[in-house]
Amino acid sequence: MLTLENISIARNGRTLIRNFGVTIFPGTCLVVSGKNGSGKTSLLKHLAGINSYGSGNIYFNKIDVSNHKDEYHSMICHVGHSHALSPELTVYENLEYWANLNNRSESISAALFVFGLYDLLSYPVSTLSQGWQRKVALTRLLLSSAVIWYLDEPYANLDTESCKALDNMISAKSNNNGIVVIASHKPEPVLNSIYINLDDIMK
Amino acid sequence: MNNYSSNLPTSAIRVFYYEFKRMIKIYFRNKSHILNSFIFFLLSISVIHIGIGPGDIPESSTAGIIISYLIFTIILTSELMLEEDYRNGTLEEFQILGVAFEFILAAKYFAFALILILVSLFAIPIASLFFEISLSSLPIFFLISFLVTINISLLALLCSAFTLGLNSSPLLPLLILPLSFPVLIISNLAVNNPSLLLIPFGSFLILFPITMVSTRLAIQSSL
Repeated sequence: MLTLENISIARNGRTLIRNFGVTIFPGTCLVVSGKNGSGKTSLLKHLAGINSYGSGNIYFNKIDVSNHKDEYHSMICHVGHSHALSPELTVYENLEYWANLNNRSESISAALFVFGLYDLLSYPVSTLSQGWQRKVALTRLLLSSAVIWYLDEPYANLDTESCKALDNMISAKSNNNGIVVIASHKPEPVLNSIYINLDDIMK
Repeated sequence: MNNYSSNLPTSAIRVFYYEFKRMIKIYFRNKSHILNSFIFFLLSISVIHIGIGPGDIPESSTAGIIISYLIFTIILTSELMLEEDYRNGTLEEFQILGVAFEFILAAKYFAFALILILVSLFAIPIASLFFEISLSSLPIFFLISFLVTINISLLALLCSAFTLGLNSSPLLPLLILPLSFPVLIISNLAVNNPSLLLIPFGSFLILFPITMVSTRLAIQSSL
C-alpha cells in the first residue's frame, strides 16, 4: 500500500501541487493527468525520489520511505520522458545492462517478446525511431523486480498495437498486486484505476 | 522492506562492475573522441618540436609541456563522463537504483582514467622520441602522467557535474584549468625530485572520496 500525504511540489518559486494526498492499494493504478506544466512529471520524480522539488510524506506499507530510501528504491522502477538508453550500445546491450543491475538477466529473452524487440537486438539504439526507443525503455520494467512502477507519458510515440501490449503489462502488474502510477496529459483508460486531475486539485 | 537490506552491499559491487563495463564499451564505440584527443596530443607535441627544436628544451621543461597537453587532452574528453548520461536520462535512473550513487560515479571515473592511461601508454613514448627524453627518464614520465591523469580526471568529473545542463562548453575548461595548476607545478618539479610525486598521490587519496560525494551532490542538484 502506497500512501502519499501532504505532497506539495514547487518549482522556480511556483507552487504546482499543494497538499496532495492519496492511498494506492496493491493491484491499483493511479493515473495522474493535467495540462502541460501542471507538475505531473515533477510529482512522479518526487515520488520516485529523483528530485527534491517537493515536500510531504510517502509511506510504503505504513513505513516512511524517507528513512529507508535504498530499500524503497529497490522496489520501484521509473520510466521517464527520457529513455535512459545509451545510444552507442545495441538494444540487447542496453537491456542486458539494466537486467544485470537488477540481477534479472534470465528475464531478458521473455521480455523481448512483449514489444517484438527480438529482430532489433543488434541495432544500436541511436538508429531506432522514438517509438522503438520507447518500447526498449518500457521493456526495462520487465527486467526489474520492482513492486511500484512510475511511468511518465508511457503511451507517447507508441502505435496502437504497442499501446495494447503496454495495457496488458500494466494489467498483469496490477493482477500481481503491484502498484502503477502513470502521469499522462491524455489519460488512457486503464483497469482498476484511480484518476486524478492536477488542474482540479489546484482550482 | 527489510528483506532488501541484506542485498545492498552485493548490489553496490555489481553496479560498479556493470557500470565500469558499460562505460568502457561506450568509450570504444566512441573511438573518434579518444582518437581525436590522441591526435590533438601528438599534433601539439610535434608543433612544439618543430617550432622550438628538441635540443633547446631542457628535460625538466619537456615534462611541463607534455603534462600541459595531457591536461588539455583530459579536458577535451571529460564531457564523455557524464554529459550523455545526463541527456538520455540515465543519471536520473541511477538515483533510484537502491545503491549509493558514489559507486556509479567511481565506476565512471575509473573507466575514464583507464582509457586515458591506455592512451598515454602510446602517447608518452612517441612524445619522448620527439623531445629526446632518455630511456632512464621514461619510467618517471609514465608515473607522472599516471598521477596527473588520475588527479585531473577527478577534477574533470567534479567540474563536469557542476556544468551539467548548462550548455556552456567554455565553462568546463575554465573550471578545470586553475584547479590543475598545483598538479602541473608539482609534476614538473618531480622530474628531478621523484619523491615529490607522493604529493599528487596523497592528494588523490584525500580528493577521491570528497570528489565522489561532491559530484553526487552537484548532480542531484542539477536533476
